[in-house]
Amino acid sequence: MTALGTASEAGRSRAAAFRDALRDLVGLDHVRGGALVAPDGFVIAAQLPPGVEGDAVAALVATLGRQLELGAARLGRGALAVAQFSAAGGALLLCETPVGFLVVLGDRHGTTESLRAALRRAGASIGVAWLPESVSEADSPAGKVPVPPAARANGGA
Amino acid sequence: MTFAAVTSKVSRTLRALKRPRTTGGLIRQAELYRREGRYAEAGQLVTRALQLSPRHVLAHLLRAYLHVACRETSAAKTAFAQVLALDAHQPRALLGLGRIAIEEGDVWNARTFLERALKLYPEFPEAAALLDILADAPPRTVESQPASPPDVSATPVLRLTPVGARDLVLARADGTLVVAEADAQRRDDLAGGLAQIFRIAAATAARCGLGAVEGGVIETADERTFARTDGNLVLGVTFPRAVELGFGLLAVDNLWTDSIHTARVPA
Repeated sequence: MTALGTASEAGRSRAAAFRDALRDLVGLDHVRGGALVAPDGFVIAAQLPPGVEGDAVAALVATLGRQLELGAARLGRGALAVAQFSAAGGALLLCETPVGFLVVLGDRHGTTESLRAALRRAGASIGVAWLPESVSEADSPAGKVPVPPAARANGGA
Repeated sequence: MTFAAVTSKVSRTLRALKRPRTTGGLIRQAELYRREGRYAEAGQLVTRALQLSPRHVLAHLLRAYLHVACRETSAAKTAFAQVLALDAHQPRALLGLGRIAIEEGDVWNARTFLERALKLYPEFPEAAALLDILADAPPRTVESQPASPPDVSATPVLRLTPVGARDLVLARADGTLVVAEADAQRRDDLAGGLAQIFRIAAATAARCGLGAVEGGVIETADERTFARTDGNLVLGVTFPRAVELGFGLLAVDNLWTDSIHTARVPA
């Protein structure tokens, strides 16, 4: 971004960075697809296998991510890092980013350790791309609109 | 004035000129920010849009989404309710309230909101997907379930927990505690929470074409919880974060057999 760059130009590069991180993740061996889902279930970026309904999966991923967050907090286990679910036909891994939940679908042949590492890397690069230049908590007549918890945990505003 | 200061001033002026001034423009810009995870900035624009048009349904809906994104559940509920006050048939507000009810363990309300949304829009994939979660859910609120009394436990004692581990629970898919080796005050919470997570994970895996969930590892800043399930029962045990993945997976496999045998639960 140049010195005269606008907020929307910064946004375009930020959105592109999210897509790049997801593309790199989905491009790995034994990865069938993935998505970046906002905590409200909105699909920010997705590369899912054919036949998988993005909106339905996003609603579930957001609900799962939130439940994991709440469970970790309620039981005093610290912030959620990575959750991995092994299934008969592959694996589903999820991590939290400042933007939302990053989920990846692995096939049966992938090692979960390498997938976990790749997911962490992708989550970190999304966090770096997201880091705003000057976002602050905004006071407004409607009340405060704070920054999401994962953003605070990752050093965001 | 330095060159940098001039550049900064020109930049600010250009941004001000491009700043949306109508409700529609503010909402469009807020939606763009939302797509980039810039929830605080989007919230500022939605607030301005609502000052211009206090009864704008989409602005209220967007405000509700932003509260959800910021984990402000109570404010999100209020905002979704405001949407429904303006448009009683707004399916996305019903979906939002359904999701929050799931989060709160309020199965009855979750089902009511989601079924209302599906009645209005039978082809509503998100609502149908969330209803999948509720198929095996307990009939009443998780929070309303009384915790097991600390000194009187209806569940057998296991004495199976490996050294260094804690919070061993075996629960049914509906969250009912079968056996536990955990603090009496939190064993019901552990069982209900673990079962809820695996119900949602099972629904998600099924929608992703992955088949039945068999187990999982939930890693937090401090700990690693290893779990195994057959769809009817779910077993979980928690280790410190430093424990090796392979060790934890092996431990939970052994515990699965032992706990089912000890509790005399048909696998």
